[in-house]
Amino acid sequence: MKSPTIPLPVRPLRISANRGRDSEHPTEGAPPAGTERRPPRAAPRLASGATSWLVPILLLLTWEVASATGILPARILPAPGSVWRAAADLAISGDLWRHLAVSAARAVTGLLIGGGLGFAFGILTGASRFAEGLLDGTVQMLRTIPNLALIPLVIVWFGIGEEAKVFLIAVGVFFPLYLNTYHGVRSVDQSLIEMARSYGLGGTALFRQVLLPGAIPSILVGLRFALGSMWLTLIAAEALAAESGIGFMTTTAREFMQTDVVLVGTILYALLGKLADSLAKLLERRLLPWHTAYQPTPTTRP
Amino acid sequence: MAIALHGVGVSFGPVEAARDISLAIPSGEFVSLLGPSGCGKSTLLSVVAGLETASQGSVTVTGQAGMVFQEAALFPWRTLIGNVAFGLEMRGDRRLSKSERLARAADALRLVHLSRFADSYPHQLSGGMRQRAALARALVLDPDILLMDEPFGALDAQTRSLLQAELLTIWERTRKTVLFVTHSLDEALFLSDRIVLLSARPGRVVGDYWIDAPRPRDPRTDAALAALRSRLLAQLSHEIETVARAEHDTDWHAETDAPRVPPPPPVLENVGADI
Repeated sequence: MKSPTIPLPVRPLRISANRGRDSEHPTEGAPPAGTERRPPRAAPRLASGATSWLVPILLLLTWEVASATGILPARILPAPGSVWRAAADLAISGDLWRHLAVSAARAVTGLLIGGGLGFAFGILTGASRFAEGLLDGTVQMLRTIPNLALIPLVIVWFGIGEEAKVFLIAVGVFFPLYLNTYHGVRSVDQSLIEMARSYGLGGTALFRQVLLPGAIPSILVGLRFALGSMWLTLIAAEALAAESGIGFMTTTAREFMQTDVVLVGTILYALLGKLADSLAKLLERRLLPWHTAYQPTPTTRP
Repeated sequence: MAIALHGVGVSFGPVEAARDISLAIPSGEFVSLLGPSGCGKSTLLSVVAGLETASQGSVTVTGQAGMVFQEAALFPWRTLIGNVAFGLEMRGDRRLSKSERLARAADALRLVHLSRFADSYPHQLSGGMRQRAALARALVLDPDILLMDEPFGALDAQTRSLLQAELLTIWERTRKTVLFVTHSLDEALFLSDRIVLLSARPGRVVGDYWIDAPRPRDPRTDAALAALRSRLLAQLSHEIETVARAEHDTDWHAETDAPRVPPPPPVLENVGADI
């Protein structure tokens, strides 16, 4: 009586259900009711984990093999091993750390100046209708200028020194922080403001107790956008002209055809960007334990 | 008198929200302000709370007032106990140490049976729980007067009747003066000592009813209460129709365009149901 078509729709369904859960909670380790369900759950997870690493590893291997056999000339793309050695040499000589420190200092200075101003202006226009009318239109107008388009003007103003780089970065981070701070303050729940007023809150107390905490999720989104803009501008500014920094390191290496060092610089930018993003995420988790979007596990109502 | 209004009128520019309202509420009384939407009852409450100023007349409030809104308006970044303690922080009670504030906030949470959730964030709670926390935030100051602006208006019927019963229990224990704004006749009948009926805008007092029926109340078993309900309903329907006429084109007629089916029920299906 058993028809072969009956079990068919059941099996693919179960597999897809398992996959869906694993991809959503890759670290979820608590076993469900029955232990006999674990093997089928663990197997696809292992498989999908290995699958995602398969292509990068294969690429690296191909790269290494192609370099070793001479198919890929070292001046186009040096072997992964020699990139690693170049990085190690630079680290031992101390050049890596020196350039890294210079670049990081530029980035952080620009972020503090531009981000601080963006935050302050955002608070101002968010909290005061008068300031909004006075400033927001102008800021929105200036926002349409890509900050890298300012490079010629910046060179005329500041030359090619540190000020030019910091200025470009400051401009790059100003707008995302301004916009999101302004929007964050504006979108604070009106009923909270009304409630706080009924308790006699106003002025700075209202700002400190209600507007600022309410705006923080949005401000942090702005910060993450600003960090992206910060690295992008830094790279462009350092490629322009520099006497130190990662950009200087890679530009010099390019002139001497040291492709391995160029790659080290490229990877460093990627790592720095990732690091900054991770720090911003950590900040979100620290500052927003109350926010559903930043909970490590989905919360359920009791 | 806990609250005394004499000839109070409130206008916002050309819009007259309330006109010539005189009302004296002795302390310990539970008074509902009942009326169609937009009759200025919330505005009147804001005037009593001091959030709005009356354009005419005088307002005298004796004692401290705590306020509860339709939205719980809890800070999402504070835990429940932190939200309740906010009430204490704000009222200039700087003499209280932080631990004293938390202890009093915990007492207030116990009063609304939310002790277990003191460290939860608002987003982890249901609407009814949030509204009880908002009530605790008002109660923590031990105010003489509770001003409540449709506090259960956004809740589902079951949660609503549960919270109404809970509010009554708290009121019977503390005997605070309560001024309760609602557009639900049944809610007003279930809770109040006295119902003040307001007309369509501009809001005027068109009825003032004392209810001496024993609690818990049920118009299904209490004939006098059922009779009062019918009277109030007739009067309220008239006001609602006035509002509806103002919100429709002139060719609209309540009898033909919105015939009342079924006719107003003589018995209550649900205490918390809206009219």
